Amino acid sequence: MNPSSILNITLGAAPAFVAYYLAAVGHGIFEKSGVLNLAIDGVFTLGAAIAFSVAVIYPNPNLGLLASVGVSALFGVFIAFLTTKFPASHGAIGLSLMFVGYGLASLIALPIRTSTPNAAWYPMNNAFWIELIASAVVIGVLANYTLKKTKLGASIRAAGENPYAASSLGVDILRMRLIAGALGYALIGAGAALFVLSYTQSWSEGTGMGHGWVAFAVSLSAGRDPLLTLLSAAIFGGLVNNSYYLAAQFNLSPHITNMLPFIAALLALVTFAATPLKRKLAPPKELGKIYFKEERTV
Amino acid sequence: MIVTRRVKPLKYGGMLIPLLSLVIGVVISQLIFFAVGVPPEMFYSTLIGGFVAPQMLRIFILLTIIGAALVFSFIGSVWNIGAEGQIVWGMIFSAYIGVFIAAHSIKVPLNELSKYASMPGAQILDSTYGVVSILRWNPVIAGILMVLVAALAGGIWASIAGALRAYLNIDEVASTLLLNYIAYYSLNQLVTGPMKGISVQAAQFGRTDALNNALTFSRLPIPGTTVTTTGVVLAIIAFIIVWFVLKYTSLGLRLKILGTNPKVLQASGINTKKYILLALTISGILAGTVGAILFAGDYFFLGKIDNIVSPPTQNMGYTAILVAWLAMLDIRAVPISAYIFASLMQAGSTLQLNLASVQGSQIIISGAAIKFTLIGMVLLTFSILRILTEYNVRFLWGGKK
Repeated sequence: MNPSSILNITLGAAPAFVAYYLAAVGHGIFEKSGVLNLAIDGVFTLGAAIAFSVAVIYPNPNLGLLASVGVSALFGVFIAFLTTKFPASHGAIGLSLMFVGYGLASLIALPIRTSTPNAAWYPMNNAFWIELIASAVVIGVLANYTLKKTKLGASIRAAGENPYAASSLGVDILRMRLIAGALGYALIGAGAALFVLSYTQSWSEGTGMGHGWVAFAVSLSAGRDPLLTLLSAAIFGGLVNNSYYLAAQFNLSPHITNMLPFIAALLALVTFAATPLKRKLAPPKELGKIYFKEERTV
Repeated sequence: MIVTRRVKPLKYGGMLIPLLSLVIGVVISQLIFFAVGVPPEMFYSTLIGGFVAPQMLRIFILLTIIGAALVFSFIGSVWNIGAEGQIVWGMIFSAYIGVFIAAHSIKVPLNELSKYASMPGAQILDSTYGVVSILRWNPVIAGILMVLVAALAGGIWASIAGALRAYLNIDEVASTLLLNYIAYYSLNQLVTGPMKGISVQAAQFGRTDALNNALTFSRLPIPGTTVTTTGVVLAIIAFIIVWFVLKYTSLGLRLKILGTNPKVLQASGINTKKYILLALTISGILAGTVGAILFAGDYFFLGKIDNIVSPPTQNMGYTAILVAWLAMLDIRAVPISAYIFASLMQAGSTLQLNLASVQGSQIIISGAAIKFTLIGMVLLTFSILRILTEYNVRFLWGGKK
């Protein structure tokens, strides 16, 4: 294999890599604030559907990306509000929004798909892919810096580790989770938009379904750390993008290649849980627990 | 707004909250469907029709079984979201028994085909190519075996997630969902590869050969419905097993404590891992049987999934989550809850047909979209309203911030 073909294969994996990476970083930020994020797959599917629909109606992929980011951020704020303001089960809220996402995705995009199957896709050339990777790395570094070095990041992490102590030290838990929800889900929406507009370059009912869970596994196997996620997302992006080369090489059927990301996601979860990684990159202590502070009635 | 814990649980909350969530969830879904062009009068008339449609019984039976299966794991706070995958593996294994073991299809020369037409146990599947299905086993034994292997397959598939949760503490919601997709694509791989049939249609569309008529599950003599006797029997068995185990056995009690306070279990020296694994496995066994009913009672062959949002399980594994939750995890309420959602699902498919039959209709809406929106909206309303059973929410306008 000569160097230029290696470069092409590497760059060709950029859309899948960046889509999973952004969604995984978003997921990590949101879960760092202590909210169990089970709605990721539904919003990912919905984001992809919205990005596709907008890119059909206004033939500009950037508008599709923006629409997906906006709608997804609203979902993030909604989830953060419900789970923090009310003593509601994070799991139940997340799962129900997952189904809402599946339903809305198909309701919105299926009529549009039936009349126009082609949207304004992102270009498929090295220049754009390099741009994509560069912006993803910049976003990752920024997210890492914000989470680890700034007051905002410390407050978000405190809301996930021990919201009661944080609250008594003057951190507004609701505000932190709303910010984390908006930021996190904006990134998930961006990932979803890139998934359809840059990676699959086609939309049919069900596009993106399940891949939100792959992003979930990508984030979890890197302990929700934005920089480590670069590594896990690169592995997944490369695997998914090159699954067709692999299929040709080993004579696998398309069904096996479709299955690969899910098996890899499961294996990633197992690897993370079965090795010392788990202790090093422990989840936030109060992740998914109901935050309820008894208020005094007037 | 002030949220305080209730001293006593809300009166009639167990009944009021699910019903209220149902009504509000359906109304919100209707507004969403209205926004994409579904006329409200058509929506509501179809909805009411769903409650009396005979074919609803078929979904009711299946949802009762899966609902009971999910209650069994949910009661231990083990969230089996993977009934879809468990049903798919049930279908695969019962199809293997039905199409390859208890009967098998052979290719015969076309001029000998007439001999098979009158032969007992033989059924001509494809007269243009000469494919005949030959019965090899007693249908009753084959039927029982089909249900048993389906149960076993579902149980094994669920125990993967169970072992991951018990021994590695991997969230079973994520793992069961990932396993669903693996099951869907495994089905595709099998029916286009090793299980692909030899008749013309089977080879063309990527599916197994059809099940021999003698092996199909018999149907109840109710016009307009395809409910099978096996389905009814299995629903009753599933209901009684779950009810009995949860009410009268130590396993049931331990599962309940696992759900409410696992630390108590650990402190009294009980291996919680074993119970997590058991909860998922038994849940998978019950859900797996539905695969056999779907295969030998409805489809009679196993086809490739073209669209991942509408697998042959008809998303019932997901719908059953609602059945279990809206029954407040009380097994006695599962049939009522199953009846309501069976009617909604039936109405959903009728609605899709009605919309398609409207002349010059520009409304394109898939059955999966209707189902997912309804499931999601009712579940969301329920997750929010359920707070009211344990907490008191008061709104103070102005006054305090």
